[in-house]
Parts: sequence; C-alpha cells; structure tokens
Amino acid sequence: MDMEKKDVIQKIEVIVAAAVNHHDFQISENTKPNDILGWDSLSNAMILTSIEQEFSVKFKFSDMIAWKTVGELADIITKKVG
Amino acid sequence: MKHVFHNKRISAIVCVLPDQVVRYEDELEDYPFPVRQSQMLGKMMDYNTRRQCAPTDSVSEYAIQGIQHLLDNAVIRTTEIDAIVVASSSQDYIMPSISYLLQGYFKLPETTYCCDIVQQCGGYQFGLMQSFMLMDTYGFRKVLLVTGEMTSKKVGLHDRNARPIIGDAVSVSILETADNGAIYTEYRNFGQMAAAIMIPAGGLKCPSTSETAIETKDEQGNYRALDHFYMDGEAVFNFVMTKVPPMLSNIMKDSGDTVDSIDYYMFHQPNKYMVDRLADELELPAEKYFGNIVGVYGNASTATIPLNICHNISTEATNRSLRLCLCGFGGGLTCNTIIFSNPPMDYCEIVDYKR
Repeated sequence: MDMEKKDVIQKIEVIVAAAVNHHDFQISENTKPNDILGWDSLSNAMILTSIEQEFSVKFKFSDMIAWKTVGELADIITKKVG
Repeated sequence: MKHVFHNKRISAIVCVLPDQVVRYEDELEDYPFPVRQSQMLGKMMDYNTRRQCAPTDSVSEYAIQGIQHLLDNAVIRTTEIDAIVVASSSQDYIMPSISYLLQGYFKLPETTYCCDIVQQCGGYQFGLMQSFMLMDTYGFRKVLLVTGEMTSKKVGLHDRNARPIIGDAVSVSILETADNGAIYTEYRNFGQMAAAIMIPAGGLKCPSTSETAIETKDEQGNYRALDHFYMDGEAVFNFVMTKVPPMLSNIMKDSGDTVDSIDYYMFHQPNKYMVDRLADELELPAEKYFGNIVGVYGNASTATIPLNICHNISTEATNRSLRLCLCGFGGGLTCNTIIFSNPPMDYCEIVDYKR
C-alpha cells in the first residue's frame, strides 16, 4: 500500500468515526461497512458526502456502488483526486 | 407505458397547508441516536421545518378549503367542474371516496365524474394522466385534480428514517383544454418492490390492533410499529438512481427535448440528498431543478410536485409559458413522467388551512 492510499484511509477513518459517532474500530484496507457498528445506509450517505467535501471530489452513483471495502473506496478517491 | 396527449394545461394550483410548523431540531431527543449525529444527518439532508396536520384533520377538509379558495378568487365556477379526480393514500374513510365527499359538499350535478385513485409519490403525474384520459374520452373541459396526504399521522415518533421527511399538504389543480400541443407521458411500475414503501397495518389484510401499535427496534436502531409508515431508504435510493435517469432520457428522446430546452425539472422530493444526487446523475444545472421542499414543508407525497411548483416557480408559471418535466417516483414502486409546455397559469398559490 503506498503512502497516499494510507493517508486516504486514515482520513476515511476520521470521517466514519464522526458519522457513526464512536471510534471503537480500526479501519484497514479490507474493512467493510458491516464490520463497523452504525455504518448503515444513512450513515453511508453521510460518510460519502463528507468524503466528497474532504477530498473535493464528486461521486457518481456508479462510484457509490462500485466498492465493497475501504481499500476499494480509497482507490476510487485517489483516482478521482488524480 | 407511453402515451402522447394533446392540448391540455394545468391552469391553476392551490396548495393548502396545515398551519402547524414543526422543527427537526426540536425533536432530536426523540430519536434513539446521539444528538450530534442527528444534527449531522439533518444538515446533510436539509431537515429543517415541516408542516403537520392536527390529529382530526382530513384531506377532504383541506380540499374543500382549496376548492373554495379557487371559487372565491373566481378562478373557476362550480358549473364548470366536469370531474373530480383524487390521487391520495390518505383516505378520510375506507368508504366513501373523497371525490364523492367533495361533489356532495359543493352540490355538484349528478353527472359530475368522481374518481379516487390510491397513489403515493408518483400520484400527481398519475392523476394528470388519468384526468387527461377522461378529458379525451368524455370531452371534459375542466377537471379538478386533488392530491394530498396526511402521512404524519402514520409516522413513528422514534423513527429517524421517516419522521423528519414526512409533511402534510393537499393540492387542488384545475386541468383544462388548451392549445399547447403535445404532452409526453410515460409511467413504469415495479410492483416487485412494493414492500420498500409501506404502512403494513391498518388496511383490511392486517387491521390495526393494540399489537400492531407496539413499536419495535429495527436493524438501524429506529423504533417503529406495524401501524407506521416504513421506507427502505437504501432500496428506494438505488431504485431512483437506476430507474429514473434512463426513463427521463427515453421520454426526452421521444419529446425531442434536451436538458436546455426544458425550463424546469419538477421532481418529487423524498429528501434533498436524493434529489441532488439524481440531478448530478442527470447532469442538470442547479437552476433547472429544486430540492428545497422537504426542508421547508416536508415530503407530502402526492402533493409534493404541486407544492414544488407553487413554492418555486409560481411567478414565472403565471407570467409565461414554461416547458416542464414533472417526474414523480416512490411508493409502488413507480416512476411517472410528463413533459409538456404549460401556458401561463391563472393561479398558483400556497395558503394555510384556516380552522
């Protein structure tokens, strides 16, 4: 995992913690939403919106459903940030 | 199903709203979630205020006031009303239908066509299509279309998925013949997803009992009874994002429209987040659509699009002809779209219900 992706995942962790209102987890590349208490469809919407603001990117619907793990989400973000 | 109607317009709309304004920030403690998280959600979804009816209010009472308002303002005369079409899921009674109550109240002739259609979020377009069919079949010149809901009576107090979005409103539209050319319509239904928006108890299949009033906790932590409105937000979001864009693209191809040739896209508004995401998907410029209705009035299902028109474009709509795309989606699940040029309207206002 290169440094840039690590940074992205760290920022995702902070965003997820704010959305689910706890930090009883540690995020890795393989983490899935179901692994974290409170990461449901509504908090997922909050998380993706916060990610858009944090990284100044815009997700299309195809982006929103194209990932299963945090690592895959980070890949989408890094690609968009360019 | 597609159909092209001709030469009909919406000549007037009046929306009648409950005078009670409720605020999302005042109910944060009711939800079984941390207040800070609910505030974050409210900011993203644009939850602010909603209109909420009183426990004994009914759609027919609001419709009577709306129709009376149109009569008082000389927008229509009772002798001109050929038909009353009601599209709503908030029936006053299991029987009789609201349209008969309205016909009786205004002492309209026995020949007045009365029809109620059980509809939800796509109901305004569906009501328009049914009314246009009646106009073509029977030669009606003026039809009253009543849409509206009082769903707040069926929402759980501890359900953050549903309560913050649900508002109450009733609209009365006058539809009449005109020289405005083709009206492109299309509807598609997805009954296999019927359970995604539902009030499970209270009908004849599962009557309301003390047991159906018991609230239980769902997977997300909300509390809801079988008597309450339920929406599978994720399923509805995925439905809207996958079904609406191709349908719009299809009907716009038929009507020969481009994004620019349509003045306004008047969407049904489940919440601002969904409308903005849909607009992004369609690559609509911000000035072509509105997502502000839920944050001001709440989502009144069948009345949301007329409310959208009255709140956002009433001045323009009464001063000039507008090419409109009306697109409603939701309960059914269904998606109904109409593209047409509407000549200047005679009336387009929102009024408060007077007690």
